[in-house]
Amino acid sequence: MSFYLVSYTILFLIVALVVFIELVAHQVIFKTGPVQRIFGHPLLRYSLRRIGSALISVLLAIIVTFFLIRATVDIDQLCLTTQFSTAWQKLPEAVVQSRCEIFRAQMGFVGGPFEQLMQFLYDIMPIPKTLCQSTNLLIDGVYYNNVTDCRFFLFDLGQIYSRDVADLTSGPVYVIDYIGEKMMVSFPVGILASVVQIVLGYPLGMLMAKRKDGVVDKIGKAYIISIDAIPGVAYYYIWMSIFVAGFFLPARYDVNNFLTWLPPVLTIGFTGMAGIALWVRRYMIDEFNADYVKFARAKGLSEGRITRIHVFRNAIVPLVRTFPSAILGALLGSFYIERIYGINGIGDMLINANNAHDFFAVQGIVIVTALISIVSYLLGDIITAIADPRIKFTN
Amino acid sequence: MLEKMTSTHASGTKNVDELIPHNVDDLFTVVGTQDDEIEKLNTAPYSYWKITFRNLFKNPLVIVCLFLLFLIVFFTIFGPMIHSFKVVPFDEADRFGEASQGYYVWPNTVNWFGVCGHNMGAAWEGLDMWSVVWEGARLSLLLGVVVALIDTFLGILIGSLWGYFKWLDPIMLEIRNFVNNVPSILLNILFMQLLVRYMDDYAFLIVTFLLTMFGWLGLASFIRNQIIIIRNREYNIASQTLGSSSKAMITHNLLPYLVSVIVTVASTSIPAAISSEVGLAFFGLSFKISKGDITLGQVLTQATQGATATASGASAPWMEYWYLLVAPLVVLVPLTVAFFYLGLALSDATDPKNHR
Repeated sequence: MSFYLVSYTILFLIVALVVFIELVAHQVIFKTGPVQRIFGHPLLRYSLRRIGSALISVLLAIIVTFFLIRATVDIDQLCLTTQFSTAWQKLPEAVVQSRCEIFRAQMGFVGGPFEQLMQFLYDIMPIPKTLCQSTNLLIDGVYYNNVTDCRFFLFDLGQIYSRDVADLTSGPVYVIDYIGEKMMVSFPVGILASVVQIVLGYPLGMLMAKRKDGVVDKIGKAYIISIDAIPGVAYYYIWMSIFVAGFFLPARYDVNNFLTWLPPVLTIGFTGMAGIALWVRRYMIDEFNADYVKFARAKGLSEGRITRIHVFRNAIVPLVRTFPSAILGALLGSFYIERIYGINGIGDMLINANNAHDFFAVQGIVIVTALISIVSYLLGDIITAIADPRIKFTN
Repeated sequence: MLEKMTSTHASGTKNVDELIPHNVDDLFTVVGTQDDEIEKLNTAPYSYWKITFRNLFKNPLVIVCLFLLFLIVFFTIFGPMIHSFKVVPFDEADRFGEASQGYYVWPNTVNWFGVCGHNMGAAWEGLDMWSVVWEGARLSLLLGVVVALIDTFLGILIGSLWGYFKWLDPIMLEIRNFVNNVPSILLNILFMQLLVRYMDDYAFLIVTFLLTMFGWLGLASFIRNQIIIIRNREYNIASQTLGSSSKAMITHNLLPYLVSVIVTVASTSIPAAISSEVGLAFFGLSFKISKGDITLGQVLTQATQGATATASGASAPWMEYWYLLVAPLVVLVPLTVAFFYLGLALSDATDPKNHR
């Protein structure tokens, strides 16, 4: 009961803070002074509004996927088909049934779908809660709950119950821990790939814009068209065959051998750089046609100085928006690349969890993906506002 | 202030007539009205589509692309007939003579693209790659065209409504957020599992549904943005003031302006749909060969992943028998690139800014 009290207090405080900021921003209270300057800042209000609408989007994503998974998975058959089936085959029917009952209670599959949804939403809210793992002891025909392992949670995304997803032999595996673990597998490759994309994409785009319709521009355009046109999977395998057959690089990813990092990193890097080069080229050509460039030329500035100091700085403003998603997106990795090179990251986990009907693992990935996409969008807006002094956050 | 300036102006300068002496009657002759000449324009005759096609065929690469597409369409129809073996279900008793021993056969004079071998899965063993690839290309092409048509139709329809009726905005933005926030592969997997439960025999319908589910969103949101821009242009406001109906404004004022965009998106969405199918097949969400359907995506997936679907390097069939990878790519790459380039060329040619 006290948990509910704490949760409602926290929710109340959040709502109160939002109302306070809105009141200050509309100059109902604290019309002047430091409070007005801090809480009445347009950026803060804009961010709040965005976070509000973003939370609604996340909630929608969670609810829709919740019912979609429910529609594809039969919860009553779940404990028979997933983890215990092989071990329980020899047990009497009644014992299996009662164990299934306990499994469902443990996992939170109690009551109707709507009730379960409410429970799930309560679990994932940032409310402090303590969860205990219990094993069931059969003593004289009666099951007793043996509480073994208690843990404190802020977000509880549930437990993994399928052995195809995680190793369950040494105690329970919580989805939130496991996703974090898998992210750390995906992240090094993803972030290196982002670096490769940026390091190659920006100079290519600049070169293409500088000598428009030149040789570099034509080759670059052909490359971009081919990347856009050829299916991603086909492209990844073309690169793989070049790396593996041409340069004798290993085909399977191994975290301890840096040589095996090269094929996945370069595959993502070479593919992603085309998109970056395309936009850099487009924005830079727009800026090259602007009047201030003609003015700078007329004043006798060198071409290199115009490109570096004036054109590039203006052209990069719409592009800084993509930096947060490039960095945060690296946490999620690429589903195709992880499968092709055998990287056991988030993408691999999603496919396994879905094949094994591991409800909470799938749902956890949905939540994390939605949050990352929203946070990176918001950060992108803020960075754009910082990079471009012309942007004002008034409606 | 203003008065003062005009007065100095008037006093400081002289009328042109005073500076250059001339007789007005010598400069102009009155011709009267000529009613039959009113509608005539003294410029070269202009036809939108004529100039579009003239611009299009000026580009030699377009001819190359059209030729490639013609070749591919020709072979998707006649390829499996010209030569060798038709694709048959696995359980048919008599399979293909010596090629069907379950071993890989490198490309030769009989099997032009080689033969699928033993660790590609039971249904694939001993199939001739040439016929498999062209059968696959046929279904991929058909799927691409159908999906592109549906996507374009839905995109135009929903985009016009979305741009026109403001109350639709929050709903559509929420749908767009949803699609951006949830991994698309997960949505595809879930819908696939859901649909296969109820309509397993209609694979074409299921895959078409998966590809068109949110495929219209990009075109719709683009058209919505364009419509909001055009809606506030003077000519549309004038039309509105004169009492045009909503329907007339969409069909007469807005859509003609968007023809260029629509043609481009329609032609690039064919290769996009083919690519999406390859992506679905990679995760086993496409057609099933056990039901007699083959697409290029499946051929590529099977060649690269093998029967065990591990997808990992060393044990995959194509590592040793690389013709398995090359054969589908030989068709897939020209097909998608030709369509895509044709779309880009069309977008240049149909853009009224590039006319004259």
